[in-house]
Amino acid sequence: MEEKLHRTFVDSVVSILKKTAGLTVDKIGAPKEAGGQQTSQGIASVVSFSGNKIKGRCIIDMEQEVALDVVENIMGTRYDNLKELMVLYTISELNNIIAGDSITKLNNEFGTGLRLAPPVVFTGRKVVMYSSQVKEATVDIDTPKGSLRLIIAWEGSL
Amino acid sequence: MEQKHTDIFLTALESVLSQFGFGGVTLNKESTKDQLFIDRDFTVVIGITGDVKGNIAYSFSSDTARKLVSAMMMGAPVETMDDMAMSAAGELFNMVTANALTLFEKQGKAAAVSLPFVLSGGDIYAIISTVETTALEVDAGGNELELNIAIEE
Amino acid sequence: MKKVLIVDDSPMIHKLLGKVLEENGYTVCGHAYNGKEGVDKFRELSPDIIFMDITMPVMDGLEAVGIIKKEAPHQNIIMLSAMGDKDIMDDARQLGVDIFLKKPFDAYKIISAISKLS
Repeated sequence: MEEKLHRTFVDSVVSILKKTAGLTVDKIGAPKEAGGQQTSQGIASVVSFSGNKIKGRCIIDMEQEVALDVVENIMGTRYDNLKELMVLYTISELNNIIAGDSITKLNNEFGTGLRLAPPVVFTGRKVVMYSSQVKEATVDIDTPKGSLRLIIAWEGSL
Repeated sequence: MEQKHTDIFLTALESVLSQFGFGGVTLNKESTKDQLFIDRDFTVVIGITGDVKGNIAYSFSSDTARKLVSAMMMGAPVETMDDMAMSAAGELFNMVTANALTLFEKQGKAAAVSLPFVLSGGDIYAIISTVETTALEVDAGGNELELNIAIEE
Repeated sequence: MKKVLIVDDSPMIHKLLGKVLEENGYTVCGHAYNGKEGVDKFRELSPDIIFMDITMPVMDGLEAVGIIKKEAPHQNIIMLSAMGDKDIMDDARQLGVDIFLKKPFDAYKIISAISKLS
């Protein structure tokens, strides 16, 4: 069941990056039950969700070049700084669409009644993200433009 | 008259911190922001879904973090913010948010709190909502905290 | 030329959807960033078509559709949302939403949806 949960998010990441930004994926790593601390690779967005069986969050953490390339492909404009408002808005909406896609599938299949909180997006210098006392799966995804990481944390079960 | 969002969170903060022996909460400054620039050491972000939805970001210094966590651990000294201390800080603000949601419930608005998420680092630029975020700088028993409240109804 | 109102809280969606619509001969007559603004702009601009997101601040898209359809039962509304589970789609249908599209979208998806409207 847990595998089903992170598999659903991985599928959404891969398909939506392809559809929205034309970004293909070279390699998808095996899910790691990381937990603890992870340093952001550049820019990260977080969408929290809660429902009648589980609650959790979906983090998508990208290297600068991946994020800037994704934004350029979606918006048609090249930005060179992750702190640009349109970069922050685009990465945040992208995660909203990815999480929305996964949550829709989980709700339809498992009756989880999940709803999303608005997305959070952040960038900074050596930002460390902490996660503890929850189940967590980290999946590294390599693309021709660099790497991104999907971190799904949750409580409860499907 | 309905209590304002900001008052609800201040009431909840005071109520939870008082359980750990911290004195009253004083509001020093209130402002509104579209984008957050976080220069404090730690931030706990908590998402809310339901009739009230949004995100709350609680930011504080390392010194404040150690004092708060120490108080939660019955006064045990906290030298460094390790995983255990981070988890305690997340839990503390989870309690504050859950407490605020019980106050919203009294207004007939049901909502659920999601998992707390803690981050640290320098010069963090963040957006937690497409609505205006209300930033409250507060003093809690000599400890400075910033509450960034982005609630959408 | 048909007039379209976009109601969505994401600036990215406004920019992308606006581009698709204008490249295909539609006029974007207004932009609204939450349901309440959407209702106000609908009253002010009388658009031919409204693209409406669901999860938005202040007033969500379903509530806004409820108000609009009460005032103008024949108003063409296309729901465009990141969420699209059965419960949400049922709610939208009951309110009289003509077409429900899930994000992400491309030009083909948008234009073929519009072509299905009466």
